[in-house]
Amino acid sequence: MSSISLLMRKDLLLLKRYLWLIVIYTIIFSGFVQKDNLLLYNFLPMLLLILVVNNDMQPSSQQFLGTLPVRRKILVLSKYASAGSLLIIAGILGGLVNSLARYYLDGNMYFHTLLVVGSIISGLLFMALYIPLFYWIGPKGGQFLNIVLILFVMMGNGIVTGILSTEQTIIIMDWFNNHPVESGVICGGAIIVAILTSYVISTAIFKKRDI
Amino acid sequence: MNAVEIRNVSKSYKNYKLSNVSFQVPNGYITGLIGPNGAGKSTIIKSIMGMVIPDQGDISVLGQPIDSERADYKEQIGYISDENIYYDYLTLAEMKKIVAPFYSNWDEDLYLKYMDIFELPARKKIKECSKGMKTKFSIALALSHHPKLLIMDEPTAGLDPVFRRELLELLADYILDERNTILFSTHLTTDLDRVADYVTFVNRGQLVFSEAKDEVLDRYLIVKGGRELLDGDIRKEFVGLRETGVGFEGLSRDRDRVVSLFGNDVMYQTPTLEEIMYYTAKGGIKHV
Repeated sequence: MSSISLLMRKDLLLLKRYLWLIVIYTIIFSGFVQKDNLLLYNFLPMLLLILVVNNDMQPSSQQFLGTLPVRRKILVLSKYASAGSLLIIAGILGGLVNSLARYYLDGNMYFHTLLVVGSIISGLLFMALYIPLFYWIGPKGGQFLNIVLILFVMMGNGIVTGILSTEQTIIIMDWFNNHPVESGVICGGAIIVAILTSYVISTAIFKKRDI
Repeated sequence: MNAVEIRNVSKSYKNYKLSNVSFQVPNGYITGLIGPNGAGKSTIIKSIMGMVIPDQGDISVLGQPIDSERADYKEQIGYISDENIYYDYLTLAEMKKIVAPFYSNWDEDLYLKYMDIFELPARKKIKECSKGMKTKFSIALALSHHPKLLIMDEPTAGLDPVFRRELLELLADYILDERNTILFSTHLTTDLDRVADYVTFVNRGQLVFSEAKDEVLDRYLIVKGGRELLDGDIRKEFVGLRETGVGFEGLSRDRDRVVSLFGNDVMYQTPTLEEIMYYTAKGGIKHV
């Protein structure tokens, strides 16, 4: 196995202890409580992002990583790979749970693709912002960063709900729905540029950092 | 060949500076890195491990120059820290499952042998283990991939004397293979009196000496005599001096010189590494 796969495997093993939290959270905020709940779609991927990145928040954990025969840029890359893949899984999982809840309540199993894709895109963009901040602030400021992050997501949730219901946004969303190829290229390109830039910044920060 | 070569390494922090340190760790021997707390031992070790990026200087490990972007050389290093660096909410078995695949030379049988010798419970969580158990587990992980270089940062601090002695015996076994090398940082110099071949002494971020232990012990000398023998020039002959109401005790780094100065008027004693460290760290003249 490559070093990245081994580090991703490590992140999964470390996440095991939070499994119950993820399950409870998913059930509470799934459609059993409220249909198409943005707290499920937006917050579940963010929750996994925070958990994965913070697995190695302690200085001692960073020291452990420093003893491994793995280059620093691979350590950084593995964080993006773990967080990114879990964000996508969490987004899809949220959609599936919501569909099941709808089926259970209404007998109508509808997978809300737009919300799932939206949550994944916003999650990936947020990851591109969060990981460099994490490396820049370092383990000592990580707690503070997480509090800010949670507040930001909670406030952002309300703002996003507001924005999504405006007339202009509905027109834009319609355009995205009617032009899947163009919207895929625009969103995909924006995500790739954001994540690549973020990775370069994170690597530059972490390469010079004493651990 | 040297297992580690450190050339002109400097590192500055807010309240501390490692200044232009150069020394070698000879291949096939145990080298002790000694110095008081805060002397710079951990900074040197972390620089070798690529965890600390020196402001200047070069480091080579097992013949390869290292920088922050090289890590393959760590396959050949077993690292034992003075503190727990593992995820303490995992069990020993889970932690091993994370570590082992990173090393192509991982020897599962050897790992199980150490777990057995150290009587370590694989299903116990790391946070529930005692300090001694955590150190034993670190040793088991560090040795199970057949490292050529074993780097230990204060491994015996906080351990009971029985296990400290066992650890030293283990190191003696490991070093029987002449391809293996140990760099052993400690401020408990009695451990090194027993096992070290070479000693590197750092104090306040500066290198005091780095040479064969026997040569150090042959060169340094403790002198004990009456105060009437001391004057300004004589005091300067000592690295450190301790004066009491009736006499003095001083450490000289030049055995031949002090013997020619004092002849039979004083008592001489070969110092231990601890005494060398004490007098060098304290320096100056101490009145008791």
